[in-house]
Formats: sequence, C-alpha cells, structure tokens
Amino acid sequence: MKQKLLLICALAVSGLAAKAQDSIKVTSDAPLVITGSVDAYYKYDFAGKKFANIPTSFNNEANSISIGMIDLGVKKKVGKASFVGELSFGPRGQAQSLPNAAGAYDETTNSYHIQNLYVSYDLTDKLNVTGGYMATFIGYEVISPTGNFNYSTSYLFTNGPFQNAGVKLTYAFSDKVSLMAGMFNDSWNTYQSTGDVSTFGAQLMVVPVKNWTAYLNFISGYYSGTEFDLTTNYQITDAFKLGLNFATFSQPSLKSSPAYGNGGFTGVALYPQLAVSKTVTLGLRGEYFSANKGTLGGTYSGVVPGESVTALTVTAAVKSGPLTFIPEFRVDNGSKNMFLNSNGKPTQAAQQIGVAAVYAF
Amino acid sequence: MAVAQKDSLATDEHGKYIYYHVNAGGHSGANVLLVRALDFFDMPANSANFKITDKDANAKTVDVTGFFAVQSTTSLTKHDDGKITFKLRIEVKDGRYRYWLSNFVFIPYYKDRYNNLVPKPGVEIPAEELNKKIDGKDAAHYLDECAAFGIKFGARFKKQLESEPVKTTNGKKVIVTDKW
Repeated sequence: MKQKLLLICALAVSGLAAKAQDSIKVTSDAPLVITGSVDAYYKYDFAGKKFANIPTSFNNEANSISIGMIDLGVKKKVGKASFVGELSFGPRGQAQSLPNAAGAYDETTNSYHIQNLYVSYDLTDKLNVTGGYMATFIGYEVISPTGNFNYSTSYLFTNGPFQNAGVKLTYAFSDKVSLMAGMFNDSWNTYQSTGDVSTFGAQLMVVPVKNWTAYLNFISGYYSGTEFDLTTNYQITDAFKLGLNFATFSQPSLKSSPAYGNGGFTGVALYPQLAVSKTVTLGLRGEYFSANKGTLGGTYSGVVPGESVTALTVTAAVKSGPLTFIPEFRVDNGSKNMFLNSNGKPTQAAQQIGVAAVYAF
Repeated sequence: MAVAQKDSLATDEHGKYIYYHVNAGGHSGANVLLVRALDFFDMPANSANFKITDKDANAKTVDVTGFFAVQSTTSLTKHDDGKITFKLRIEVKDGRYRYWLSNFVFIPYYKDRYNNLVPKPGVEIPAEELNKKIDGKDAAHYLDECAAFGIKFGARFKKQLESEPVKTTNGKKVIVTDKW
C-alpha cells in the first residue's frame, strides 16, 4: 500500500514538474503526460425509486448517488516510440464495461481495469504501427465521460465493441485522409483471444471540408460478427456542431461463436449541440435502434428481434474550469412494451432524469 | 510562470494582437541576414514547429507559420491543453531586420479515445476572441504565453542573425592554428 502511494506521488510530482514548452518534446527527457477524470451521478427513473428501466451502459443505478470511475492515463513519447497506459477504478471502468478473464461482467471477481495499454511506433512520417489493447475505433461514444457529451449512453454504443486488442497500421495520406487496417483478437473486449487473432478491422478517415470529419469503420470476424459504422462530426459554426452515428451489425454465422445466429441490429443517432455561452452547451441525442428479425436473432439492450426503440436525450453541459455539470433528461419509447411502469406493468416508454459531475485533469 | 507578458503584445491596424520587433543587424548585409534567417528554420530544434510558407529573395522577406503548446492554469496535472498557431513575417535590409508574429489562434486539445491529447476538430479561437470563448484566467494566461513565446523566439532569432557563424566540418569546430 505504501509503495502504491509512493508511486502515485511520484507520478503526480512528475506531472506537476512539467513546464510549459515551445514544442511537443519527444526527447528522452520528455515528461510523462498524466491525464484523467473522476465522475459521479444521481439519476431518477420516473417509474419509481429503484427502477432503472433505460439500459444505458453506465449511469444505470437509480435513486442513488453513484460513482462512475476514476480514470488515470499516462503517456510518453520519445523519438518515434510511445506508450499509453490508462487505468480505471470504479463501476464505469470495471464490471460495467470490462469483463473479467472468464468473459463475465461480475463486480465481485473483476480485477481488471485497463482502458488502454498499447505501444506505438512511427515507421515513417506517415506510417504508424500500434499494438496492444485499445479503445475500439468503432462508434461515436466512448467509455470515458470526458469523451462524450451526453452522460447516458446510446444503444449503438452499448451494443458495439468497447475495446479491441490487436495490431494496426495507420497511413496518413494527408491531414485530410488516413487509412487504418489491422488484425484484432477474435473476441471483443477481452485481453486475450479465445482462439486466434482473426478479426479484421479498418477505418477510413476523411475531412471532406474544413471542420467536418468522417470515419468509415468496418470490423469483421467469424467469432464476434461484422459491424459497419459511420461516425461523423461537423462543426458548422463556432457555436453549432452536428454529429451522426450510423451502424449495422450482423451476428456471426458459425456455430462455434457464442453469438451464433442470424440477427443483428441497425441504428442511427443524431447529435446536435449548441454552445449558448462560453460555459454552457445544450445538446440533443436522437436515436433509432432496431434489432433485426431472425429466428436466431439476439436481444440487444432489451430490444428483441423485430422490435425497435426511439430514444431522445436532452443534455446540458455546464463548465466551470475542469468541472462539468451535466443535467440530463431522457425518454425512450419502444415499438412494443419493453419497459415497466411504476406498478411493475409492461409499458412502451420510460423516462429518467439525472445530473452528473465530471472533473477532468 | 509568465507574469503579465501580454503587455508586450500590441495591436496592429486590423485590431489583431501582434508581437513586433525591429533590430539592428550589425554590419551584415541583407543577403547574409536572409540566409541566416532561413537557416534558423532548418535547424532540427525549429523545423518541427516552424514552416516556411513563402520567401522572396528580391524583397528580402520570409513568411512562416508556426505553433507552440500551451497549458491550462486550471488543470491539476500539467499537460498540453492546446496549441497556439501564428504567422511570422521577417523582413531584412542591410544592417537591420524586423519581424512580427500575428494571427495567433488557439486550438484546444481534447483527450481522444486512445488517451492522446489531440486538436479539437473545427475549433479555432483567434486570440482576440479568447475572452469571449474560454475561461478568463486561461485567456489571460494564453495571451501571456503568446508574448512569452515572442520574447523567447526573439532572443534566439537575434542570436542566430547577429552572431558570426562558426566554421564547422562534419559538425565539429575547426581550429585555425596559423592565427593566434
């Protein structure tokens, strides 16, 4: 314990000792860059005190002052080589997002809490190779609360990959076009493969016009399935930004896969955001998500094959320096009864309200 | 820590912040000063942060773009919170030269999904609008950093332009033994 405290102190001191620089230092005395965040929240489900109808990945404990995670990331780059290590402690970073070695989401046995652990090398000015356990390149939203505008998460995020372990090459044709391709472990979200390194992934990044960035993502493997994803952001004016996420997923078709079936999901989410002052930004997330029909189709966040859900989330981000307060209201409306009302009876719609505090450092 | 160095910044005829300096260049001619100025941006320590966008041997001018990293005053840990890009104009004449840095633009960084601090796409805040767009304390600090960078750059640039070059062979100093 004492050694852990000393290590944390040493890391903190090295971070504080870093001085302002004229350039991004990549010599051997380059500082260890330390970043991180802490988040906590309260939410109330309109169906009752301890109902948590809406299947958001995090922010899922009703009528409780609950914690997200403390996230600690370190990075260092010397010359062409760099590493990143990012550890998280707390429900958001552990059992709610990362499975244990047995592949289960179980807080009692989950001792893992790694968000990113990879090494990277610039083979040339334009070509980079990176290997390790990395946040997935798929999707609009991420695990870290500092990377999302809304505090609750979308169905598309919850049902896509969170992390992929593998090796990838990224080639930058210019600052407007780059291509990534890599091979990843057969199973998503695990530190080791189940059988082999057989998932192929690719990402094409394009900047069609200034301030508009689009990512076309593809991941496919016999074990975990195939997902095509479009993630794009357009800062249309100084104050207004529009984001879009579209994804379609097909379950793997081999019987050796745990998700064997003929279903999948398709969804689209729109993210308009308007900065109304230098400290307050208002945003919406409108999402449509459907589980594909299929006799062996899977259920995704409670959405059974052939059904769909439409979710509307209204969020405000109120910034005070490194602290962001996030009040949020969300209503989900299913194509059929998929939630419970205050009497415990099935109902089509669910509503929740909450507030989160996220401190980034 | 920068201490109100933003006072070193003036505003130009367009109302933009400018760090302006005129120097005497000793006895060196305009061509020599121009070569030394160009050499400055070829140095390994400078080539990553400065990019020559135009040079005119007749008018004896050099146009450069560059950037430097800045850190927030409100963050618990010290890491780059953004970068400030700028334009640099250099003009030389026999025995003197002048330069100015202007068009300072702040580009905030955000932490991407891979734990890298990278520029926020589509967000570029001219120095003149910092007070309206970001925390006032950080805005003042970034203006200080603009001036501090100008002062630091000026000292290094003066040394380059006004120092007699040392002859080297394969990077080693050459000792001339017939004169002492």
